[in-house]
Amino acid sequence: MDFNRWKELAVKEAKRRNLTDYELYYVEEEMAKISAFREDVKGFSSQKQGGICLRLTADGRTGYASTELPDESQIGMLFDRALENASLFETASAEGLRADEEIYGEKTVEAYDIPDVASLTEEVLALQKAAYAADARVSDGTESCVISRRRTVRLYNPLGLDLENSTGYSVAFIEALVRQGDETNVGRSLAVGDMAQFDPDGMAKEAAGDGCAKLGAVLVPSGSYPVIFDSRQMITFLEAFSAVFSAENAQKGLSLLSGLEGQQTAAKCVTLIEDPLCRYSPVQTPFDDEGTAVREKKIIDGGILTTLLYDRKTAGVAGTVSTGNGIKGRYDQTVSPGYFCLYLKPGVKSRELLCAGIKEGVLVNEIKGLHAGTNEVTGDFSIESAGFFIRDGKVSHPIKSFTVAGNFFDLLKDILAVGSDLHFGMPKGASVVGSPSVLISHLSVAGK
Amino acid sequence: MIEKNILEKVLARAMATGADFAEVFVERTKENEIVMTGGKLDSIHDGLLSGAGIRVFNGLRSVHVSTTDITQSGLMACAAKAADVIGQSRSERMIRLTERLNGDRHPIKTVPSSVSNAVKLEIVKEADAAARGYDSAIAQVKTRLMDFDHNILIANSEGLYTADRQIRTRLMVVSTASDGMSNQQGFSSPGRRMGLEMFETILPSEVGRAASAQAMTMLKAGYCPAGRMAVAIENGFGGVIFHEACGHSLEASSVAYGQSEFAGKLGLRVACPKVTAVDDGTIPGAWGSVNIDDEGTPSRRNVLIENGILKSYLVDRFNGRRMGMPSTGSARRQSYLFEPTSRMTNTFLLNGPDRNEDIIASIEYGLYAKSMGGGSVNPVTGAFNFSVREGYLIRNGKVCEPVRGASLIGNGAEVLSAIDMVGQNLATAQGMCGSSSGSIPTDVGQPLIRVSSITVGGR
Repeated sequence: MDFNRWKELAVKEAKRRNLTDYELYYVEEEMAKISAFREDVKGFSSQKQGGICLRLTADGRTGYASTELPDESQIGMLFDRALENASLFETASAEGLRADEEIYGEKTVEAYDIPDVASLTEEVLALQKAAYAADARVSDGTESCVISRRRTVRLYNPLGLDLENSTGYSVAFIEALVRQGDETNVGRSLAVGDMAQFDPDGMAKEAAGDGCAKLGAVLVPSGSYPVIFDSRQMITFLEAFSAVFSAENAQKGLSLLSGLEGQQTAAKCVTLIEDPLCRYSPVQTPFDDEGTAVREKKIIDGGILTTLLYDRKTAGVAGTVSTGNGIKGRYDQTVSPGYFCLYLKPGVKSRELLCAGIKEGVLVNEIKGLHAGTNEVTGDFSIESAGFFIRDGKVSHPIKSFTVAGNFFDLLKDILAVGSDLHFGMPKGASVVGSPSVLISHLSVAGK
Repeated sequence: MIEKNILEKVLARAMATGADFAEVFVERTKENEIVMTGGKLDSIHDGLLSGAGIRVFNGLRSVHVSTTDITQSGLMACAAKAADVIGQSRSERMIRLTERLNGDRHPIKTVPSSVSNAVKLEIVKEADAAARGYDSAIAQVKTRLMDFDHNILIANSEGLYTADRQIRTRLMVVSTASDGMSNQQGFSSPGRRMGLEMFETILPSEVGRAASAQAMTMLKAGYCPAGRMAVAIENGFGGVIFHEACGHSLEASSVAYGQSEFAGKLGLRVACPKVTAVDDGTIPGAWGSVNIDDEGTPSRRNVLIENGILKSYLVDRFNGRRMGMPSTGSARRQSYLFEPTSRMTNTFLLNGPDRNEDIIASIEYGLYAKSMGGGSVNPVTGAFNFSVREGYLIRNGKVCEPVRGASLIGNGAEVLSAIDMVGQNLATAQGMCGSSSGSIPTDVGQPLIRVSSITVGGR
């Protein structure tokens, strides 16, 4: 059942029940994933998923209900359940419907279609072949993978809002297992965007090089060191702590940035931008999940916190306007503030130049288990890492099995320099994060 | 959910290009979640998941295609797509399905999806009020009550046609304590493969108080010192150490590809003789239990390590082909969207010979990890990382002041062989385990254990 049929049914049902304050949110997602092991295709999977979520307001209170079952009998149930859920709230909600009065920005990135199975197969086998060719130490256990996604969001309400946005992109990655004697290591590389532009040889060299460079890693003496997070690790880091910029968390006392708008919360070299139409984002959107037009904003500008991220509900509570950051993690979840494209503005120094002034320091190029080792409410983190020791301004040797510990809010203030090597990570749902490498004045490193 | 004769046609279509095995998994799941923050109802998530996944094998290749269109034509289209990818030959197969009924080890007294959210809200309020009332320094409390009514139907080309209904309930409280300068959090989150009757034995107010008590303890704690030391890990969620450090590396999805440090080690000593570990999906009412796995194989008790000797891996049908091993009833998937693979159910270390007081007394200087947070592992290298939610320093055989911010890092095989004392208070705790086939409910558990030496990350 397509969205237009859902819409017809909802309009009829709402009329029957004398309801005027409702909204339909619909997502249709397709994904194809192919992976290779040794020199053959290991598996192929494809997902097709769609669901509809009804949000309605009755007696000033808002309720949600959702379904994936494309059956006309579901519409009555959706209204019943959303009404029951709305009735349980004691207070009126601050959100309301948004009319289509916005001027929406233009997208600049194409929504790519999912390539056919033959093209996906060709690509994944090319990656796998290149990985084995890149270095003699690349061994069985090496895996290449291509994932292509396409996602369409529809948003409708009876005030005239009827929006549609599609995004589509591919992700390729190589996990090269390198073996030398008894030692094994995994090296990685990642590409995101238009599959036709991917460079299997370059990716293979990067993955194999990454894996081989880590061979012979030793333990690092525990202590406090200047630390460089490379861009991939800093991306993961920002993802893990992004919730601290949510006005909802601030209003609930769950963000230590609460009330600090206008104050210095980071080093002067830090400018953090949220821009859903950023030209590097493979998941560009002109509107948020409430239909508000998005805009570019500097959350932190030269170290000063200028704004948190607001949806309509939290903006209502704070007496301000939405920043266009109402987002649903999944089609069936409630809206709350979040980011579409969040990135740290690059500086001028290459990663080599970041290293240059360091007598003894640590370059982190692999972190693991971030979900376990970080707490966004306290800001504390203690993360298992691997990387390289820096001596006299140069990368000296690989190091492994150490933890880097500190506090995110302190870290923001302790950033000495932001690199020039801006990269973007793999999108998660409608969101993506980017960052260059970052030099932090000191963090606690626990090794031997 | 779907008639046998329709699925027979769908399976035949999926095999029409030469697949040697085909399977249909149909799911309908009601999910409900009530969230309360700051003493007020925050949100209600109320949804229905519905769809099917079709999987075909040809030798060591597998193809999985999922859809939300579970009409006959939708399923046939899905089967045709899978068939197109898996092979080019033509073959005609007749499939005859025979229904199998499974015993249910988990009778449900109060099916949550049949109870109104107004009634469930009272449970949330009780936990929330107890958490907020615990101490004036409790600045924020988030309480969630989740229930799932997960109906699955599995049919395959070997003639299997079987179903299961899995009902689960979980209450989670996160308390944040604040002294104005810093925040600390405490967690409590019991879950069961039960209906709302789980609250006859687990009082919501106790869950709330436990979360706040932990937050208050940690608010007063200093930072944990870093370094290598002996660690005593308490029962319950402490079992996450085995889950992460060893359990994942025993999954066929790693072992079959030589990506596990335990590959090729069956019958060999991997731990001290005090260590016996099992994965048991048959425990009545336990969070990770299933009557059948997601390939329709009855769940069972698998002894993974017996007196220190590696006895078994966790095997699913597809990876079992590569390993030449039958399924151990360990195939699991989050939903119809995911291809099933070998996963854990309820995984724990059995009680050992050591008295708990002797374990603490044996440590001159070390860490007592009373409550563990989550963790992760790289199965290839066995490198793992997990956080200590509530820890205390041990000095001269006595538990001393609380410490915050600690994490344990190491390598699976190494830490397993470093477990040198095993206590006697086995208890389990609930978690959600994430891997390639999605997020699934699992129990972890153990008695108090001693790890003779491990790297503690702190500062």
